[in-house]
Amino acid sequence: MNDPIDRLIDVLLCEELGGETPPDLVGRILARTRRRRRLRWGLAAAAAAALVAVGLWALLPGQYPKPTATGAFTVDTDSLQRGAILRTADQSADLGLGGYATVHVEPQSTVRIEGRERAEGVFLTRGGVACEVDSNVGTFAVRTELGTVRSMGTRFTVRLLKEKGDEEMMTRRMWVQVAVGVVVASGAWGNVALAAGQEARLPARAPKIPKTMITLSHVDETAEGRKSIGGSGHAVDFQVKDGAVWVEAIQVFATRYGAPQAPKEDFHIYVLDANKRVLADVPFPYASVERGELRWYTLRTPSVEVTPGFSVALAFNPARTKGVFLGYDDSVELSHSHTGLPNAGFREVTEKHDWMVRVVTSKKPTGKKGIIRLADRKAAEANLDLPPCVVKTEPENRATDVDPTLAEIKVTYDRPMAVGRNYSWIIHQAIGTYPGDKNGPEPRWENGGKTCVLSVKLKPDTLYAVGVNSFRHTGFHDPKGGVGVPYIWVFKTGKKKGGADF
Amino acid sequence: MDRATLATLVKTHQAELHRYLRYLGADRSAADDLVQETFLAAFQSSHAPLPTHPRAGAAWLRGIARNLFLRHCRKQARTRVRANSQLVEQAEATWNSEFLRDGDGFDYVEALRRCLESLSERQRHVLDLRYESKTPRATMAQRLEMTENGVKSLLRRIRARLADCVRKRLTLET
Repeated sequence: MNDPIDRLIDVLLCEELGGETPPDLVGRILARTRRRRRLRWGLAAAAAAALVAVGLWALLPGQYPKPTATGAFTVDTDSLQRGAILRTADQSADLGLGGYATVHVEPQSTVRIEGRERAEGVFLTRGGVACEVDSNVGTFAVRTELGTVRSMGTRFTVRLLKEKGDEEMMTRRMWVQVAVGVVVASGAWGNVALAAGQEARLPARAPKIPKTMITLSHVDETAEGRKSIGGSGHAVDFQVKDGAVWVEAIQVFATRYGAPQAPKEDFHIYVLDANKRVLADVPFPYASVERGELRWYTLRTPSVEVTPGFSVALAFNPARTKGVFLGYDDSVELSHSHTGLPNAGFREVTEKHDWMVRVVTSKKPTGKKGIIRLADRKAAEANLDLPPCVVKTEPENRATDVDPTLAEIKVTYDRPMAVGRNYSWIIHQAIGTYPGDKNGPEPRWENGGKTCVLSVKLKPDTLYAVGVNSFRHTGFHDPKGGVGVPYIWVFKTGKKKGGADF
Repeated sequence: MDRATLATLVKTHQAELHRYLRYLGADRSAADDLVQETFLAAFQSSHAPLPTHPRAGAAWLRGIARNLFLRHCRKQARTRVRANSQLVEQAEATWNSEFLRDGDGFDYVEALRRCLESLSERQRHVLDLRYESKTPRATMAQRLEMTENGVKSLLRRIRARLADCVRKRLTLET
């Protein structure tokens, strides 16, 4: 094992050339768990008597720890007991429950003690709580009117927020932050699992749609069924109303299925012209749609200028273990829906139903997530004979004094590219250092698929060189397969600035 | 952890663990045993990562396997494998940075397959003798009209060339 690389290649060659495939050990391992269980059975039986005795002692009335509290607080009952409401004013208080859960009640907070033995809990009606729960003793839950956060052996914080500008139901949200372990937050909006270091505001806020915008829809508020189409997608035709030619958001009546943790990939919404040519390809994280009941999700898009007749297509790329069910409404008089994808063509649905998709349009582009104009499209089409070309980089080519704390660099093409993992960032060591951060997140796409973003880790006073595509590497290409013209750019970071470290 | 979860865990990770233990230096039968011991230890542990985090699960299992491998080496005083925790940590770092590269090693194996195609006829013949036909080094030396040490060096050079080729393929296309 002197040279790990040599050893690695040796092992892989044994597998590749020598056919040394690892054996299937499932049966053997499961059989050994049974044997170990039998061996342990004798010991367990001997220990059982002692455990029963200890258990009986623990269950005797009065032995289970009563709620305790320290700090500055008031309670509405004579003693601290289940059902009591504890309030804090300008100072915090610490509440002990069951001997295994400590609830740090923040100032200006109100909690009611709930739960039962070994399943302790509080109902938070105001403010916030930071909880620390010992593992393997019992469960613990913080309930709020918005949902419940359950845990076992964790440290986490729950805080109720009031946010301005939403409708009545959405004025209150719950902020959950996990310091240690895993919690599951659940409510009418679905379930979310949060691990250590993660935080979330729940339920996810639906963007507010201004009254001046026009919502195009063929469906009502109830779904007669739901469907996920493997290897294909959903599409619906629309007609522009009252000159509102700018698509601002797409609403889908949907639910995600599969693992509780959403896959780290995007699904795509395509805005198409009357001939089903792509005007915009907008990726959304899979986590944008939650598990649970079907409900409306509003997905903000760049402002996309559309033709009088246009379509919206959705590509969820479903599989057995992940996907999105889209609701359909079969009470429509005429179907406007199709199955298919932009690159594969579309077919009208055979049943008389419409996919539950609505489009929010406006007369003027808001431009909050960028603007995609028909004129841009026409200009791009005029150049369709040419392969995709880089039109912009950030930092610019030959830029100097670039901030070394910059975390991302961007390359922008003259047209929407095939998104996903279709990229080839190239190292040019002979020219300069490669800036890519090996431990950073994967490159992502924005600006309707025109801009690819690479995470970088820069050092001061260093010359960097990076390329996109090369003679051998052609990851950057448009949806039709047109390979991006290779491009290299260089930039230099500025010198480290002095200053106090805080 | 229940037995159904264990079965899923074994199906998901057994191949990678076996490969990892072989990489650390365990022979085939020791790797078989240590993979089993690793999963049995995981079965009894209350700190198993969630099944929704397969990478964390794989790293956790590798940690158990590493410790079991070190214990195995200490017990086998006469073993050919000389391992200590520092060497094993170095091997783990190489496994993460060279082989896994934030993935599951699939890219590395694919790149190796393509690099094998780029070898000369003689180099491929030498590899076939060693890995496919499992020819003893002495016999190889006779057939190739070389000394045994020459065969050893030749094999090491070919593996180094393959490693270099794989690294170039993987680092050029980030």
